[in-house]
Amino acid sequence: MTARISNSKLKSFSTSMLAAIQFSLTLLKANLRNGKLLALSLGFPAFMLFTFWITTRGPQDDDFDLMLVMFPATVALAVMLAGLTQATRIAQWREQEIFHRFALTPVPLPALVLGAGAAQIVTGLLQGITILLLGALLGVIRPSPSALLIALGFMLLSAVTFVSFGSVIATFVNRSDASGYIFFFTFMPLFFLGSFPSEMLPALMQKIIVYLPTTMAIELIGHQLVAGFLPEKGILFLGGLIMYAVVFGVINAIFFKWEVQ
Amino acid sequence: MQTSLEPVIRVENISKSFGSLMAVGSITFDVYRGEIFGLLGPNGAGKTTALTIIEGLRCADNGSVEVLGMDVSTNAASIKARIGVQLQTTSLLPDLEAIEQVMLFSRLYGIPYDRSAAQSLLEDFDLGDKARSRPGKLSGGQKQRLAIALALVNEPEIVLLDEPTSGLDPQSRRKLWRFINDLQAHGRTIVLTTHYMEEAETLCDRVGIIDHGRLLALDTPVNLINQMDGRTTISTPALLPPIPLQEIPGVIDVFSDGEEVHIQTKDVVLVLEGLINHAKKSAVSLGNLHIRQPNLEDVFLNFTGHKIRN
Repeated sequence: MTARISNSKLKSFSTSMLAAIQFSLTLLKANLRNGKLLALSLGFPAFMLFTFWITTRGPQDDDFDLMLVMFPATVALAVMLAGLTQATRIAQWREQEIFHRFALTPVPLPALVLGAGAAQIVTGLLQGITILLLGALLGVIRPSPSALLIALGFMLLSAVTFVSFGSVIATFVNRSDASGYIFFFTFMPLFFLGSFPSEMLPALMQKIIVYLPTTMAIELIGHQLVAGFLPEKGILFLGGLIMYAVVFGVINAIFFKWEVQ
Repeated sequence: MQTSLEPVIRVENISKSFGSLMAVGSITFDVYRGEIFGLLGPNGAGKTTALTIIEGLRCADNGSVEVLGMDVSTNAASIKARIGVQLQTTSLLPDLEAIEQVMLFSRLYGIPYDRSAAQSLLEDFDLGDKARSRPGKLSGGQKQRLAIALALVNEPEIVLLDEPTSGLDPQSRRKLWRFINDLQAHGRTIVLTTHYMEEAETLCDRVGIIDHGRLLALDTPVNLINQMDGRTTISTPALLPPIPLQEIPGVIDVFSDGEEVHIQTKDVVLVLEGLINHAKKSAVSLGNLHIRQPNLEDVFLNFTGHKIRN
């Protein structure tokens, strides 16, 4: 009897997971052909990359290459902006009762929410890879295969963290437009604080920014791509980014709501 | 219309409150296999809340609901696999084409459709040429038809439609009625909510009239109208100064909804004579006076004392 129940639960679990994966693939396909979405989350970092590239073509200070600082930041930006779409989409689905409709199917809602998150994570990763390829075409970086592989791992972790962050915002903000704005205006200052060389900031800010998830993501990705090794505080950044992802995930699991309340 | 007396939904004494607001109060009804059952009432009457309790998405504070012989509170997953639902908001994924929505939802029910099966379902709903369109490119009627098509991907025995024609133009509404009749012809039981009297009268085998969370009447549209005992309604814009209408010979009842006064009578000629005499004496114009045979609107008015408010 117990074995039969376990088998039926296992079957139900695998059916749900299969449905969630198929859902994720469908959304991923839709993401990749969504011009408006790509214009912002991929076009914006690409525009920044070209701007920095053009403005650094003139005579440069031998000790400081701005492009080597800003390029990893644009890669990380392309990855992290996946969270913006997540923040908007989750709130929009709740607004338009799409979660309500999903809740009426036999697939558990958490499986579908995870599927939607996975599609966004992969989208973020693909956006980052596109900027990486553009950078390679422009001759900005030439990472070793092993450093590139590790950088891809950090990009994946960053995508997980910021997609979770987007979900957290959507959990607490009912309107999709407000959710997108809040993500953008929370994220962008953190991004700029994390992307510029810390020496340019006041002493107090230098102490604070090491704890920002944007700093952690940009430092981890940037050092791998440019130098091919972990930054000085690499373990702290790696642990911190994982911690942020876990905390955001737990908040989502506890407070997620499928309908406007 | 093949209906039987086998109840496929049994709702017993359910009530539901949100804080101090009573959305549904002690409602009881059965829905029989093969019928089109309508819940008729104004917006905010409690129709959608009742529907979400039947769907198993909300728990009733009191009472019980059985769908296809199963208690919704303990068998929600099994029930979901055997019912189809269309929500008032259509709830379509904005980034997916119509055909992708059909294929996706079929997968969520574990019955994956290939492209040709999905195309065929869309064609059944006159959406064949819209297969590659996203919801943003569909009209209101097309979105509602797509939402109903999605409700059918799992071949459900019961289809729940929440205000399926709300906001549609008369032509689209009638087109959708034909689709709903077709669903019934294919043996499905349909529960729909509406605030359109004509829709309830035309489509439904039985209608429950609901207002302020209470089920006020439940019967076939014909029987409900017959309860009006052949009363004809004479409506006239609100009269100033007011005429003592109750005193006119032949008047059975008088209601006012603020805009119009509705006079119920079995003797139209007698009441019209009295009304004209009173209007002459009081030097009041009767304005846009019109006469109607009894319909569900009058039944609603009779039970609630007010017209259905949208």
